[in-house]
Amino acid sequence: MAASTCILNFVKCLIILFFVNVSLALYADQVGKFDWNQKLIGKVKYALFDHSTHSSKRIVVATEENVIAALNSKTGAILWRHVFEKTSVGIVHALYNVGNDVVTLTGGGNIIRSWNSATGVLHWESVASKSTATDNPQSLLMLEKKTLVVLTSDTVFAVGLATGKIKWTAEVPNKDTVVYKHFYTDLDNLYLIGTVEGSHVTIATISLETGKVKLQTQVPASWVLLSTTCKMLQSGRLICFEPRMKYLYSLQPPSGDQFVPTALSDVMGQLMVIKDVSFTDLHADSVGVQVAPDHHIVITVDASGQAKLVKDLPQVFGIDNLSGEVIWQKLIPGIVPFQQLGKETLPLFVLRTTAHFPHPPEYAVLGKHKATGNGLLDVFNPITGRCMTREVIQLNYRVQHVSQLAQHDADFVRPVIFVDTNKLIHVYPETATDVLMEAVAHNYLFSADADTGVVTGYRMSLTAEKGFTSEPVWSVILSKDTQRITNVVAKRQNEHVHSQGRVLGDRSVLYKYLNPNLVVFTTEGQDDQEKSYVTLYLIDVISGQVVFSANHQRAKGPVNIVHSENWVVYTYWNQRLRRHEVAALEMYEGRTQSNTTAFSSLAPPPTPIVERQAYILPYTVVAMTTTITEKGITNRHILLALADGGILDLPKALLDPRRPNTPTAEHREEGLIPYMPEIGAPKEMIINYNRSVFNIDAIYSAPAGLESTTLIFAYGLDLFCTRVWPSKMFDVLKDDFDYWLISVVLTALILSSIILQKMAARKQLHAAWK
Amino acid sequence: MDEVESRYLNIVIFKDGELKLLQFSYENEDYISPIKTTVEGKVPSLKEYTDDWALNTIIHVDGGQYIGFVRNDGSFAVHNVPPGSYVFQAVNPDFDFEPVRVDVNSKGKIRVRKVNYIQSSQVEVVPHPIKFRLRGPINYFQKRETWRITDMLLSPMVLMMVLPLVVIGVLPKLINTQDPETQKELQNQMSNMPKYDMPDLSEMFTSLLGGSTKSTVKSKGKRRKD
Amino acid sequence: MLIQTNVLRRFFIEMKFAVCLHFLLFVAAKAGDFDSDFDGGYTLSVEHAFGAGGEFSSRGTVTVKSVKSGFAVFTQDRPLNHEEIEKLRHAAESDGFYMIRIPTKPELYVSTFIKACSLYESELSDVIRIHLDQTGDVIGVSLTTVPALCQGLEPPDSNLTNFNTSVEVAQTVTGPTPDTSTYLQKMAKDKEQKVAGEQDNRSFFAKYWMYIVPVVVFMLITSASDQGSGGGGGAR
Repeated sequence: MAASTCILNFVKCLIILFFVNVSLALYADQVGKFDWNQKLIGKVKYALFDHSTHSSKRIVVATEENVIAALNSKTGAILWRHVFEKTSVGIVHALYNVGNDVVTLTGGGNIIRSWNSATGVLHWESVASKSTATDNPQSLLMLEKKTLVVLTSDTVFAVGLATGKIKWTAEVPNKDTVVYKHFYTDLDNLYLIGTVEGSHVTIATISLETGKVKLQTQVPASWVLLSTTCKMLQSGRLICFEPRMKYLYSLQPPSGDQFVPTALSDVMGQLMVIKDVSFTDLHADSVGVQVAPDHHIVITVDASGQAKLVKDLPQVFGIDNLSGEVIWQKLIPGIVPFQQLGKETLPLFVLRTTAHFPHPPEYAVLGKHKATGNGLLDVFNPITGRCMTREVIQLNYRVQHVSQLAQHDADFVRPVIFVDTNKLIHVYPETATDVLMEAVAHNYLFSADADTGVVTGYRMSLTAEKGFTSEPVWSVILSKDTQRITNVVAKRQNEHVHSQGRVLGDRSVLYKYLNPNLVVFTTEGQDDQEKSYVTLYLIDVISGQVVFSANHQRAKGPVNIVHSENWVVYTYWNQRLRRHEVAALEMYEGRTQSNTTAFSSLAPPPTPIVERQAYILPYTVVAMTTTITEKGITNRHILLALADGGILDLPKALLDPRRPNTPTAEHREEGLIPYMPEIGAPKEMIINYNRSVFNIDAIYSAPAGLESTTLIFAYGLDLFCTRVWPSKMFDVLKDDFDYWLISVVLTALILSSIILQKMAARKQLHAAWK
Repeated sequence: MDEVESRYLNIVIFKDGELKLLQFSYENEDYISPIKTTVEGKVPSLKEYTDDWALNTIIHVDGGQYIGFVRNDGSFAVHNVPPGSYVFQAVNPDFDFEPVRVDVNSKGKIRVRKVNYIQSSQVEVVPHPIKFRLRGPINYFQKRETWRITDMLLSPMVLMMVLPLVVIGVLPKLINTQDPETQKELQNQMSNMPKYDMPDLSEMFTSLLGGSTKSTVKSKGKRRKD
Repeated sequence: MLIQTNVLRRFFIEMKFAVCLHFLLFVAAKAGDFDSDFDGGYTLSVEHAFGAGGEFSSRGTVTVKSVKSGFAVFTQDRPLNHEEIEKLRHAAESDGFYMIRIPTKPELYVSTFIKACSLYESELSDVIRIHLDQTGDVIGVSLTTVPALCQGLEPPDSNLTNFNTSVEVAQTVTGPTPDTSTYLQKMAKDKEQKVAGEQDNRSFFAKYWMYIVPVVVFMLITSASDQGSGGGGGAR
């Protein structure tokens, strides 16, 4: 008896080891063999040359991605880098050069840090705790006094630059009525310039030594508004621009007591426009990624931020997925992301793959025109990046919804269909109307309004007068109180499911509920007691059937979702217990399969059994995806980008809602791992080892030509690309395969057999002669 | 537990025969300018391992909501932390530190305790200026199996095959050389040995294990047969 | 803990009476407001249309008796008239749709559709499935017929006047949460067992009999075979 439990325990351990230790870890000699990474910094906001040593070749930059970094001025290589908080707290408001240090202002204007410009290590930091964070703090460096003065919305304070000690903090006078946006200094005093809307401009004189307010003067300015932009010139002259009448007002404080108005028309032509010189670096921000079968990654990126410089517009990059080299990059003039299902996207479509020689491969990016808002479609060759049409296609309608048909036309192009704001349907390429005609009968569309929460399904139809149109056939209402739709996640169109069911311990089969039209919707909101909640809905987007829904009370987003085969995995923040959790849902039809040939949403199987389980995640997940392989035979893994820079490769078996609390023999037969509430991150499962990648926006996975292999591309501030083998390399020779040993042994065998044959023949001959 | 976001007050009034709810939120007092705290601590020096450890170590609060940076002496500070409960984690790509949970109350008072996700109510307080404990260097890699002669020799299969061989091949020799008398006796035995040797092998064992008396008795018997 | 105590202390005075009345309020809200967590009965009107784009007309009402148990019934307003049957037949023959909708808020409906032919051929036997969210609001409706097939049958008009409808009610469930308590119990039990295992003061033989017995057996066999071999030799 004791022996049997002993053995059972051993088996249990073995099972755990087998699954958990599916030794995905790399060997130390495989570093960089299948993967590459790029550390990036984002779009540069401030840059300065480091003067700390005579021969210094460093440029220190602060970027819009809340990064500061030192670059080698000759090679551009990053010498050191610090990534601040992704939120407004981490915005770098100012960057100064002080001796051997660079000084940054962050935290909405109240954190001052000084960094050693050679090593990048923090030298000192100080916080003006009484000062409230603002969007736009002003700061002024006085090198001769070794002081930095910072003005936030309610305080002004001075920091000594030798040790970082705060010398004094002063509340700005009349902070409730006056808005201070500018200040300047002479050697002894500090002059704060504040505006009172529609009334006057006030100038407060503050002692630089003590921070005491010495004097307050008012200059009448009835034209001044909160939105009035003013600039402080080097000379101390204040120039304000009044846009309604197009006047410039200038004032020379403190002696000047009157604004001098000048009509803009008078000075036109004398003004010199100085353009911002900016470095732009690649920052893949959201949006689409596709891996072409010929090992090119094509990504569309959208440099977030205001569209003021040309470089802020989205660009498309072709990157070699073996080396990470940018092969080509292109700018599509006038393109900006458009809204679909509540999210800004620049979707990328594979119209034709490389498999149809002599037809060249074709990809397309859809966006909208910045000015007109109409659709903009760029069709290009993913190998060269060159446009395949004469120019970017300007659609003469606004695209509300876009999707791709599963069928391809005579030229092997899978057409893309657009639904415009009038619910009319268009197709690209236009010659593919016959494909669309065929598709009309069994293609449905749906739209989701994030604000109203109404999800509507449409049927496509062909009418004589309008051409292809769509009409609503179902609707589901997810609106409620403050609830908003935050995610809409469909399954991948090209996904193959190899096994229709799951063999249980008693040799019976549990059939999977494989509904290709199932889409996950999540909503986040607050109930009438102001408690946050997250709700997840599984909706069949052809019939509008709500297949399943689950509500998490006192939970919050951001919700990361993976939806594949018959399962959904999603993460959320448990507000009550202050921890991240991941939930796994698996849908089953049961022990019998209702329709063995094809799934039909219009004659659906009975409501599926939904197995569900949740686990604790002792880390923060910022992006999530699943591995995908060509035939779907290989085990599935979940890839999670963690906030601490790792990318975790987790076997799906750990997120199996059938994991038993107390395993029985049948469970063991099925290969289930006993339930443990916490899912750790063993370091061997971190596939990017010590090459941490930060602020990842998404992970893209694509099947490789080999069934065992999935290509992985994580993008955000940094880029990381690798391959994973969820069931190990079962169809490839291992990279450490000993070719030498095998060939030596084989040759030795062949040689010896030849020699022995000869020897045997001789012996036989001798014997015959005897 | 760890409740910070209930910022409203319900007052029920019974008026004109019906219940009325008045809901006040107290944001203006507590929410516009909440007390923000600086949490300080220290990371153990990794100078013995690398030079740029201070550069590569950062402090993540709740997965990077707030970030602290490490000075050359290992000290760090995370500023502007509003009241709440947070997990502080020292992040270094090559070294593993034990995270801690920090509770900041509405007066800015700080309590540090061990992280326990499973039993979040269990409190195991540790001293305030956080002292991160180094768990050790991180190993991301699997060890490649190298072919070594000792590995092969020590594998149970090989041991099972080799040990008996040793016993059979070497032990008799040892006995033979040591004692001429036994040698003689054994030689005798050998010459008289029947064709099947298995029992004799065991006999050899038993003679070894059980002492010589038995074997002499047996050999006597055998002689008698002759 | 600390924090909560502070928050509580801060509002202790104001809360003093509010807390005790809160319960009362809750009850009042429950009784008066349909939106909150309830398990009472209520009715929903169902409208239908034959063919997409057709005019909606009343089909009947669904009375939800209990949300928790999902018990609900459908009552038809009146039998289908000849005109409606013709519309249905036409829709079925032209591969059209049959649609239903349930008004939830003013001007807002949840709706769904099926192929008209499957309703026609099933002789109006269908299942309406109403999906409610966690507070009992209707979020969606779906419809299936029994059987859900289109084989080209032509049922007589007399079988097409009355709906044979069953209603299912499904509500949003509470999402899964990590099961820490069972795990902790298990761990505690394991620990207990381990402690018990450590205090194992059985006799030496009782503990290691599984190792001793094979050795003894082996020795016995070898000695027995020895004797046997000796005997065998003698016999020769």
